[in-house]
Amino acid sequence: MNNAEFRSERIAEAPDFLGAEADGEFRNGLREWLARELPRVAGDLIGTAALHSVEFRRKWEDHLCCAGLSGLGWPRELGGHSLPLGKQAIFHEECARAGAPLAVNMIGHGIVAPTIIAYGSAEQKRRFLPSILDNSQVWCQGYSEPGAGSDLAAIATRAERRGDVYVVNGQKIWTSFANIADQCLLLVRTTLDGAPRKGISVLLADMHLPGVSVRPIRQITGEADFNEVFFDNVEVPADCRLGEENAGWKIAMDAANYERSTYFVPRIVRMQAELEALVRLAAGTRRRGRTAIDDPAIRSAIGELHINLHALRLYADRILEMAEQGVPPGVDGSSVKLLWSESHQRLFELAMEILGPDAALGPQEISAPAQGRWGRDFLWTKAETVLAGTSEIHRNIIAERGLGLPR
Amino acid sequence: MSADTPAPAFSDPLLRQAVEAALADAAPNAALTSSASGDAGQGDAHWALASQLGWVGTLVPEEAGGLGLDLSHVADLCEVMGRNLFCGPFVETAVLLPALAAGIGGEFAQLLPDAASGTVRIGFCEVDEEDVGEAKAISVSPVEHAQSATHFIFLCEAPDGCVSWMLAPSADAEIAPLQAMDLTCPVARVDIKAASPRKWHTPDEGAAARILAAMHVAIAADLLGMGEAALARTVDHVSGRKQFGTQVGAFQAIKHRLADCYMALSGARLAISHAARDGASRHDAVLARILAADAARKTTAAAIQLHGALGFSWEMDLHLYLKRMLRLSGRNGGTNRLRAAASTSFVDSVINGRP
Ligand SMILES: Cc1cc2nc3c(=O)[nH]c(=O)nc-3n(C[C@H](O)[C@H](O)[C@H](O)COP(=O)(O)OP(=O)(O)OC[C@H]3O[C@@H](n4cnc5c(N)ncnc54)[C@H](O)[C@@H]3O)c2cc1C
Repeated sequence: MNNAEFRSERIAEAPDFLGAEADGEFRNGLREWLARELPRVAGDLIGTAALHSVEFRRKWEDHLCCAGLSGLGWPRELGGHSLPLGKQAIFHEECARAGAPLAVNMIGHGIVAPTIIAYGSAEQKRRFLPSILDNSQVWCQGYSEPGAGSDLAAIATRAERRGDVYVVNGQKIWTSFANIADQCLLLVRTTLDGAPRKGISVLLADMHLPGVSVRPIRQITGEADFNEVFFDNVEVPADCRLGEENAGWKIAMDAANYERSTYFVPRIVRMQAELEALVRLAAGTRRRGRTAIDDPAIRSAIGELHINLHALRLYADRILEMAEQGVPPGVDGSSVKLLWSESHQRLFELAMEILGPDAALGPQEISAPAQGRWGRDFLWTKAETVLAGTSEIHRNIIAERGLGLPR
Repeated sequence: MSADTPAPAFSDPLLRQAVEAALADAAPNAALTSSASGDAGQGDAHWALASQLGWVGTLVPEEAGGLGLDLSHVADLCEVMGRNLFCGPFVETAVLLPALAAGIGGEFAQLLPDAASGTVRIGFCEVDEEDVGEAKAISVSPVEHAQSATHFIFLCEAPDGCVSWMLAPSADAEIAPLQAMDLTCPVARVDIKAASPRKWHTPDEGAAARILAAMHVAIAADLLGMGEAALARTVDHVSGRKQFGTQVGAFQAIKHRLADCYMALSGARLAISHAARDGASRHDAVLARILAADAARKTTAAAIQLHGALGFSWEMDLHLYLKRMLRLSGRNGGTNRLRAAASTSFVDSVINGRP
């Protein structure tokens, strides 16, 4: 396959540091690049909560992608950079350290792209990958339904084959970014025969097709990033099916593995920066003649988070190593997801304790410390033990698959 | 106690039932979640009820137009209010002010008749030692219910334990509304200009302890009530929601987590009952407050988690409990500070052989 097919007009030649052999050189080059580009792109937004708005997140992601800083782990022949996972981790670490916001199209980059690379036909790769690479198309993940949350195999959205299309009817819910997405990694039921898992297929569905409607759902943070998605006789071309018909369950499970190795790494490495910010918050919070950081209870809680973060980082490295060797993270992926989401929750609970009375300020109150980000992120962490497999489900996985306990 | 059996009263079961019945009709959670800022309208409705039915006069002596009841009645009221997400400065006006009137008298006592009728509404401001002085400018944020306050009461708890109080009419204050975390409680920044004259009162140790204890018990009861409500809602949800062909409440992971919440709330209930009795100490009140805050934190977290993504959505009003917990826990310097204070007072009593 020819690299040129995958090159987008929008993408510039990647910066030199990307070719650096040594990790240190890569890191330094990237750090300099970020120190120059982020303030340039963000302008007045630096240091404000608006830096984390969906609009700016998207703008920054576009900038990264168009500067050639996407597809870091993809094979070169698909337009990527074939960077080892270690370097990818450094990339996310430096972005977090520079204070850059999280990506919006993480489902596209972190989950859909590796899945298409693994299961897609040559034609599908040509069709879908370039627009992920240059970020011109945002993806969402249409798995959950009102009746199928933890029990994903219970999905009821039907796709019936008629000639060269699948006619899709049903409803998805909690679909993140469906309101801005162009494409959807869609899980559908293609047969009612046999075990529920054996009747599921994956479609790469265009969100702009007639019959698709999206209703945003407001979250407890006040934002509305997840949605209900309704499919009413939507005709998805049959050549948009990923993998074999009725073989979608395995693809979905593999996609979850990518999620655990590539999607969570940026979040794990960000926690270090967040913990450092928390220490500075505690050092700058003075009440009743005392600085919060001198409170032994707060110190001890920070110590605990520091220790957890150490373990988490080692877990993440191990999962990256396994991923590099093509080994799925399996039970360790569940451990990382649990440890990450629960430590992250603890970190923001601690921030609320440090804020004391200021915790009564709203998540969008700009006069609050960090313009309300602590409160907003505290609320957001409540989602993290639910999305991508709830804590209860991951504990079941560890107990049943890891320890072999009876089901 | 199951979701259906009524909780035992701290004082008079009839009072409790009456409050329960009145608030049940006036707790439109849906109104809060359908408007962005929530509050105002409902705050007025709740306050009108609390005034008309005499709740604001619970602790006010009969000769000043109140009911002349005690802290155990306040505990009942506040628990039911927490359960129904009551919106209004009840703790400040109906608990703190009468406690100050009893402990200090003077200008606080003069406000009692108007407080008992609901015309006076108190905003409560905690300040640092630097702010205490006869003509200093004071700026406090966030102050709960500041927009509707007729008076502000300022508290300074110095690191050495010395407590002083000050009263200022809202005419002396500039009020700038801020976005609130808790939709059942508007907040604002309150600025008092340097020139306005004011007097700081320092009650003796016993009086200071009784004033603070009353406030802790009231807040603890609110936390307990909202925790109970969040637990009941969650028990309901997991009993109905099916995944893997069964109600999710049948999974032991869920049973155990909710059993822990129940246990924590029951412990808090006992501690509040104990702290609301005559002769209970400030330490008793602080312990009740910590137990209730911990139980409410645990329960609101479990409520959101066990509702799955539904718990994370705005329209599902569960977040109202989480946010109320956050606001109430942050008061008086936060649960963390109270825990440290409780620990210090226990450790000192052991080492110094104090009772
Ligand atoms: C912010 C956010 C973004 C999301 N984005 C997406 C998205 O982009 N695409 C998508 O498809 N989905 C998305 N989801 C949905 C998410 O995947 C589901 O919420 C999750 O799978 C849980 O399903 P549920 O919400 O229906 O909870 P339920 O499955 O109803 O679970 C309710 C409770 O029961 C517990 N439970 C269930 N089964 C068991 C068991 N066997 N043992 C013990 N406890 C159990 C759960 O842990 C949970 O606490 C998102 C969710 C959130 C919160």
